[in-house]
Formats: sequence, C-alpha cells, structure tokens
Amino acid sequence: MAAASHNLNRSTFRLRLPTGLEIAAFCSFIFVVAPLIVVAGSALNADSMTFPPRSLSLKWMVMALTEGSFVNGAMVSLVVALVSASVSTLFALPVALVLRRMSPAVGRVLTLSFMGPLLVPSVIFALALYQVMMYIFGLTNLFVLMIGHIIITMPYPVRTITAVTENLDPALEDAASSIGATPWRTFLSITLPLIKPGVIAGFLFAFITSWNDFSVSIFLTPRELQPLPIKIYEYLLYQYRPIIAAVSTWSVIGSAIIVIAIDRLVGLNVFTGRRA
Amino acid sequence: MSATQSLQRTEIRGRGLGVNAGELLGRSSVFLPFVFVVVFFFIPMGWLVATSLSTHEIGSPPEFTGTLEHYARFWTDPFYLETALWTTIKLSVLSTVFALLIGYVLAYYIAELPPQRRGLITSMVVVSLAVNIVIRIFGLNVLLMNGGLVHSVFGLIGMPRIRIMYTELGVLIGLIQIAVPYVVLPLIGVIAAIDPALKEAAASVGANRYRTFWAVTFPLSLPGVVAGTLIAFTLNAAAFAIPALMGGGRVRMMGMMAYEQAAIQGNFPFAAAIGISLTILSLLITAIYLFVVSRTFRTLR
Repeated sequence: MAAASHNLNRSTFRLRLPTGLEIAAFCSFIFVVAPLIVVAGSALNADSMTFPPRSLSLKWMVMALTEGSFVNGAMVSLVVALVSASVSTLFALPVALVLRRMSPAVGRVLTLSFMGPLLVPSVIFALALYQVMMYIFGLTNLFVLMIGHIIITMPYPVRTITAVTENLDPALEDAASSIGATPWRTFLSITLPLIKPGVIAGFLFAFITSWNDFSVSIFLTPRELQPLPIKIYEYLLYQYRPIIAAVSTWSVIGSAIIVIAIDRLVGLNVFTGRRA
Repeated sequence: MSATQSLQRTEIRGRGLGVNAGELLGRSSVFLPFVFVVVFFFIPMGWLVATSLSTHEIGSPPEFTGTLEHYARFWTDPFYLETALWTTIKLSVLSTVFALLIGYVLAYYIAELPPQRRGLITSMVVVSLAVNIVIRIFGLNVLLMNGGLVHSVFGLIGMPRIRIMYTELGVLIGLIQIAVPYVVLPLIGVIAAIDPALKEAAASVGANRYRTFWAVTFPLSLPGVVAGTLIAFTLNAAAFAIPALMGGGRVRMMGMMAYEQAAIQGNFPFAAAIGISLTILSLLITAIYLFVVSRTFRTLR
C-alpha cells in the first residue's frame, strides 16, 4: 500500500515536471526561430513592412527574384562560398593526414597554426589582410575576398578531418602499400573512403561559414561585386521596404535546402557531434 | 621457418615503404597550405601589430616608430575604457551566460526526445544557424522596433513600452539570439550520449530529478557546455554586425570601433591597436575560463 502510493507520487512527479521543461524549451525554440518567422511574415506584406502582415501578397517575393542587384549578390556569395570551401577542404586534407603521423610536439605547433584564425576575431584578421593588400596592390578584388574566406573557413575541415583520422587504423594503409599500391592509389581507395564523412562535414561547415560571413566581407569586398550579406546590410542602412524581407526569405529558403541536403547526405549529426 | 621469416621481412619492408610514401606525399602536400596560412594570415597579423606601433598622420601611410601611443590612448582614456572595453566585456559575458541558459534548456529537451523525434526541431536550429546573421538581425529588428510586435504585446499586458532597439538591451538580445544555436548543437550530442544507466542509478539510490540533474547530467555535459560557451563568447566579444545594426551607433563594442577607426576615420594604427587589444583580451578571458573550468572539474572529481 505504502509502496503503491509512493509509486503514484513518483509518477505524478514525473508527469508534472516535463511540462515546466517543455514550456521553457518551447520559449527557447521560439526565440531561436523568431527572426526567420518574422522575416518570412514581413515578406508577405502587401505594402508597408509590418509583422504580423496586415494584408497578404506574393508580389515582393516575385520582385525579389527579378531585382538584378540581389540576384547578383547571391551569385557572388555562392561562387565565393563554393571556391573557398573547396580550397580550404583541399588544403585541410593533407594537413589533417600529416598531423597524424607527426611527433606530438610538431603536430601541436602545426595544428595551432591552422587553428590560429579561430583565435583571432575575424573582423580584426580582415583589417590586417585589407591593410596588406591595400599596401601591395592598392585595391581589393574577388580573389582577395576568397583568400580571406579560405583562411577563416580552413579550421573547420582541419578539425572535422582530424577527428576522423584519429580513428583511422594506419595498418590498413600500410597493408595497401605492402601489396604494392602506389601512395595515390592507397589514398584514393583506402584513406579517402574512410575519412569521407569528415571531409563532407568540413566542406559544409566551411561553406556555411563563408556564405554567412559578414565581418571579413565588409573589409575585403570589391565595390562592384558585393556578396549578398553586404548587399542586404547596405540596403538596410538606408531603406526599409518589404522587398528586403523577400530577398531574405529566399536566402532562408536556400539555407533550408542546404540543411536538408546535409541531412540527406551525412545526417545532422555533423552539427551535434554525435557519431552516426 | 624461412617462410615466416621472409613474410616478416616483407611486412617490415612494407610498413617502412608505407610510412615513407605517406610522409613523402604528406610533406610536399602540406607545404602549400602552410605557406598559404603564413603568407595570408601570420604575415598580415604581424603587419597589424607593426601598424599598431606606428605613428599616424592624416594623408600619409603609417610610419613604424615603435610608439605605444595608440595603446596608451585606448587603455588610459576613460571614454574608451567605459564605452568600448567595458561594454564589450559586459555584453559578451552576459550574452554567453544567457545563451547558455536558453540553449541548455532546448538542448536538454531535444536530447531527451526519442531519436526519431529529434530531427525536425534539430534541423530548425541548424537552419537558423545557416541563415545569414544580417538576416536574423533584420528579423529581430522588425520584431523589436518601436511599434513592432513586442511593443504591442507589452502595451496589451500593461507593461511600459521601453525602447529596445538602439539600446544596450537590444544589442544584448541580438548577441544572445545569434549565439544560442552554437550552444545548443554541441550540447545535444553530449547530453544524448550520457548513459541512461547513470541516471537510473542515481534515481535508484533515491535522488530526485533535480539531484540527478545536478549530480549526473550537468557534470557529464560540461564538455558540451565549455565547447558551446567558448564559441559563443569568442563570437560575441568580436561582434561587429550586431552592434552596428542594433546599436544605432550608440552601443560601441571594440570590433565595431576598430572597423570605424579604419574604414571611416582612416586611422589604421589606432584601429590596429584596438584590434590587437581585443584579440589579447578575448584570448585572456578564454584562458582564465578554461583554467577555472579545469580546476573546478578536478575538485569535483
């Protein structure tokens, strides 16, 4: 009897507490997604920008797609993100693979030098690169912007690839070379398939970092080829019309598509750090 | 016997070849990335240090004289200490603490869900991380501006309509909003990986849910807490877009001030001195934080 009432107490206790947690978690969740909901809602306004919208219309969403300046900005962002994520992943590959075979002391120095960009605020690094480039070339261009993005994105693939190589058994590669495989052959048919999840995750992290970057781009961006975030920023400084919400909504949709692609390709575990 | 010996010999030779080939491939292929990082990261950073020690004259490039005047100007003038330094430390620490509180609750909730139900809510958090910072600030802007939804709700429930946009509070909310996903995501993995048997063990010896949480879940989730808060803090200490867009020029953080000095005032040496100070400050606070965490962690064990 006593035991039964104890059990009953425990179960009501268990039933009540999660509701408190659920309410708190719900509020946190709303806080996280609120800006996205607001942006999408504002884009559907018929005339002026308010949230919640007063009367609905899709005209801004359509107009955003034909506004050359923003489409141009999105293309610049896309190209810069693709190039810098690819280059930084390609650079990170040998770095991560070599670190594994080096003595701990040398490895630590090398890791630190490639992780350095994470320790310096990106706006300060951008200031430094901007100064040097202005001194040497007297201008910035798309290449300089890409160089800046490669530096700030490289730590991510180095880290994700290093994480998978730690679990890699060197005996597998040695076995391949011992039966006469060339280093390239060993790399392509043994090493690469084994470290593929880390490579993909690193590339995607690098891509998102570049796509979202603001502080490096604001220094290094050339006047005529501004990436989308800078375009939106400059527009917001002077004007406030629903078209900017519509442009932003398209960008949110783009990001959502990338996230779905990541989920399909490697799973969202790459973000939460869980092993699949 | 001889067969085994020859096999061993092949094996030894094979391993030697593998290591050599791997290192040969490695050494040459690591050269390019290394040069790249040195040329485009370390040399510019060294250059920035040199610039911060140069004299500034309007209309001419900085001239290296080894002067400390820009550091002295920043670190002795009460205006800079109060508006930039203190605002930066206060806002970055506060926003990290709030981001941890909000993020922990959400991560705990997600991690406690059965795995197949975590997907949608996790992907929404990831999407918010993958959306440009400028766009997220813009959304907050619409929500928090005078006459916006938050103001209307405040009016309805009879609270005073305090100004949020273009105040420190607005910038703080912006910093927290940007940082929360960075805290949530590493925590989900860490909390979900905690062996449920440990919690059951705590419950079986009579610990209630709070006790279990503080004695088991929270200490075991500390690596995730440290990882998330470190990202949140380093991002927010260097925040630039958020004070620029939500502070309306009134809330000055060091990253933004360095940008203004360089891009608007053209005073590169002073901008460099602020930038180097910010970098050292951020590293110092990170080091102290890690030191304190490792010490408390050791005493806990």
